[in-house]
Amino acid sequence: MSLKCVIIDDEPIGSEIIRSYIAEIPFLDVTAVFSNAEEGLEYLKATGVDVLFLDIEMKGMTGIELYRSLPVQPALIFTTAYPSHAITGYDLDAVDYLLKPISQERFEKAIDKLFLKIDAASQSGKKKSALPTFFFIKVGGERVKIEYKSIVYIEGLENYVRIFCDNESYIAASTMKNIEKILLPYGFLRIHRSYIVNPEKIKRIRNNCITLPNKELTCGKNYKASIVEWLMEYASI
Amino acid sequence: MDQLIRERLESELASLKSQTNPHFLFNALNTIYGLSRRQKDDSAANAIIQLSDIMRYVLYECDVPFIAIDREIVFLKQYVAFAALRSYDSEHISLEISGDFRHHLIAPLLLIQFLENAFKHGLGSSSDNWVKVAIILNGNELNFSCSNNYNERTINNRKGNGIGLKGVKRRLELVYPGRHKFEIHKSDCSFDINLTIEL
Repeated sequence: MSLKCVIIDDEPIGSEIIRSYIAEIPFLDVTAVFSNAEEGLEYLKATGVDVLFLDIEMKGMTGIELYRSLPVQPALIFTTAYPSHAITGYDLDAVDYLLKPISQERFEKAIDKLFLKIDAASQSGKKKSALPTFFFIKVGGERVKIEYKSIVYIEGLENYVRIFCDNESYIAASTMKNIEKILLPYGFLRIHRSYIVNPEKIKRIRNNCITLPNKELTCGKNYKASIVEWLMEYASI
Repeated sequence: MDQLIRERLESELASLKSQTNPHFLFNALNTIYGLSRRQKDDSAANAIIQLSDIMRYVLYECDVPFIAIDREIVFLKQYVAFAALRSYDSEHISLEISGDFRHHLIAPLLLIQFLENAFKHGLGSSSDNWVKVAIILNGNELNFSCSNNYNERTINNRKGNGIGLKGVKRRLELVYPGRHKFEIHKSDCSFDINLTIEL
């Protein structure tokens, strides 16, 4: 069964490019193309679709407003010339955020993500699997595998985070907020505006100092309460 | 003085950024990209993608004091690939890169200035021009070298030489004070730059 796709873009060549890419991908069918947001919105309210390729800056209504007003939200891939909305794209849980001009290669990556997401959604309906033991960070053209248990702590830099593992450290283009979201389910502990630690690696705690292998970190005063709360979960004799 | 120049440059850059609307440019490139695809002109379409990647990096990612060096290297490769498209001597351009670049940061758009300079002077209309670039990282020591063919006669006919390199020297002093070594060698037929930075 194919996935039903809708393209909304106020420039004809914009949607033509997306359409030609989709034509080469099995299991994807374009069911409608719209050049303005209002018409697209009407159609989407009346008709169920699986995937929406959506421009952002359009006359009348932005793609973001359009998507937010949908009662049933299909999988979303933004196609835009504006990098500044990427954070909103993340908030809307978009599959991907493609910047124009979009190469075919980049488009196909987005479709890979789309299938992964759809697979994951159907899997989670069946049974809740155990948390993965590793994740990847993108470094240049490759993905480096990082095991959660190897992480000692994370340091937030201005536009990057530095991930200190047992034997190596890595820099990833991410924010503390993002990385915290990923690590919290694993029991990681935020101790400072710029630090997240792996509690497994903690050796000693004194006042507001946490000792890790080869490193001592100071707790931020805003995080003290949550650290104390965390500490209560463990016996101290 | 350096601080003043830097501030002036930064405000100039900011005003340039606000004047030209980059979204318009990228939408326009998208249109031209679509038109090239209609003509089945893959080389034009690919060149537009390359150019867009380069522009996006410069316009949106480089407003930070330091950037992951592997990201900068992706950019340099794209720049060299694009320069090769524009050149008669594309087979005489070499870019050697070695080392583990994953864990270091660098001031963005620093090394590119040497490349621009080399491409400006090294590549031209005659057929025996060349540019050689090597970027080697050992631990946290970055060795960068950039050479191009050099012809005293043609260089002297051009204006503005050296000003670009003066600017980049200043920037090195500001960003890597006491942590860099910069040398220029001129011979009869080649112009070589060697730069070592402790990242």
